[in-house]
Amino acid sequence: MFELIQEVKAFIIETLDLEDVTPADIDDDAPLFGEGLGLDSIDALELGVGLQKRYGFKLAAEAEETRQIFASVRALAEYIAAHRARS
Amino acid sequence: MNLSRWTAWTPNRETPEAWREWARGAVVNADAGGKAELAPSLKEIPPLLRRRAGLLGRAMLHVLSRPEMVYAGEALIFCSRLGEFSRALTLQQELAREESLSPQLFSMSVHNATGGLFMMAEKANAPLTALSAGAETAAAGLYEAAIQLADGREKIWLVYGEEPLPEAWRALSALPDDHTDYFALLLELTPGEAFVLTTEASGHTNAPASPLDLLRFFLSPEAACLSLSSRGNLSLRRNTACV
Repeated sequence: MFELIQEVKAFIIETLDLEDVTPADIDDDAPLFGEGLGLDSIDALELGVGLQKRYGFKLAAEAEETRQIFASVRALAEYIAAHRARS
Repeated sequence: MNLSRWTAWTPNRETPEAWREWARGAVVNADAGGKAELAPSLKEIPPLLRRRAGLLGRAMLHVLSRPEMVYAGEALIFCSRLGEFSRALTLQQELAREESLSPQLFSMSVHNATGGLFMMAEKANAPLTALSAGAETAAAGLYEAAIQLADGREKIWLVYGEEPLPEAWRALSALPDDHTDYFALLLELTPGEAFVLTTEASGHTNAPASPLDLLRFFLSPEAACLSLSSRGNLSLRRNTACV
């Protein structure tokens, strides 16, 4: 899981052009949106499209589940591990 | 109108002195400053906003954020013939491959996106106009500024910017020299008599003036008149009669 968490951090930085952020700056358990990294709704959509391209699964439109998936890097990594269609 | 302040940026030409030399027609050694940056680093804009700007957006935000141009809530007019055209091309290529469009690119592909970023960075709520008028974009921006000044505004920030046409489009288009490099220009205009927009027949039949023609005119005290557009014979006159 440690490796996948690092990979997810790099994926987020690359997908969202977070030029001043390094993986070490991202807390495994901090919220991605609002506080923490301070990402917004367009970032959520961008990550959704990026996840589909990179890992081959589509996020459900159901808001509550999406909120849980994006709760933190760790939550996102766990979801990817369980749902990825591509390695 | 009066031109109270201005600033301009293009790779390898940043300072007012360099632009004055350029306006005098001096040959500037392009290698003099070493390798030019493709876009300013733009440390003035918060990173979370800055990352959304493309290279043209960065050039335009840079001239708006220079220390000598302190923003104090002026009305903004953003002018670009094609805007961040490379974003539109990327979106079209994604469509052609039947991929999902990037929401970030899509949200930033509207013509007033860069102005919006600046307003968010400044937490300003001043009027923002985004213009594109083909080859007449320079004329349209000045015309809009003149209207807003006549309507009682005390100061206008008129911004021009263009980016190089993407390679895929270059063969299909014959655009003027402004489109070979990133460039951004900011003019601060106030009510006054130093320059007058006029529709008196000037006798000129030139191609429409580009933003760089406009800057060269402002920096050339001996130039009396600049023909802006053949449409309506629009000209910019330096407080002496057009000749």
